[in-house]
Amino acid sequence: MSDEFSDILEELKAEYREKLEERLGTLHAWLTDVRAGQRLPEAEEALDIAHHLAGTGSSFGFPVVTEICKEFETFLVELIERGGLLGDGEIERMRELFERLQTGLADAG
Amino acid sequence: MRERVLERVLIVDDKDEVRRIAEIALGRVGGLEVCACEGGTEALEMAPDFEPDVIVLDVMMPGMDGLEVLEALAAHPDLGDVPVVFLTAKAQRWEVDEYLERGAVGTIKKPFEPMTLADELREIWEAHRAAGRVEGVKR
Repeated sequence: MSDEFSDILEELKAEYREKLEERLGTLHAWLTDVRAGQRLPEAEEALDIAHHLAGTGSSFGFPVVTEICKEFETFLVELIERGGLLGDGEIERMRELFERLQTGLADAG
Repeated sequence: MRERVLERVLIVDDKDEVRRIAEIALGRVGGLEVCACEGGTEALEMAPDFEPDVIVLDVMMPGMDGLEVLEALAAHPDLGDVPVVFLTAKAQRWEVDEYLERGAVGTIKKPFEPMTLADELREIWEAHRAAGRVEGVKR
């Protein structure tokens, strides 16, 4: 890869990382607000974010984002199909996925 | 008339960062002339003047989704013969089969590798030219 392409891709990767932090902040706000017995009010928006991140993470050098957001996407699709009602297990699963994502990103640098 | 080699690609994706990296991947890396549109309506306006050799479509987009854009392109008097390749994360076997049945010539799965995206597209393009139709997912 030429230095020119490398520089451009690094720039895009940095911008992606910045937007990623914003998106994860949005997801985190939703996840910390929910309680068992509630429906996830932003489930469709969360699914849109998870789908987008799953489909772009590796392209921007973050395979861990693609890997975990695919799981997130599958989880949210199934949650929505079941009517969106959250139990303790679902909340725990969402938080576990989110923590893995944060840890994976921290490891990615 | 232009020689029938892959030169011009029109890419349609609602996400700005996808359009930008695809433009780099297809244009700067792949040596293709690229026109990027954020939706089907813009693509239908731009395509007749741009005269793309292939159109690369996202599936999940607000407004017209990829399949609706595909249908509109097929019905367009100047664009009906332009091959369409889907670039999508929605690429399970049954989904890819549906795209082919609806008239797409191939599917490239997201996330794509920027350094090889143009090669994957050329491979589908060449196969389409040779056989008229391409089966399966390129990844």
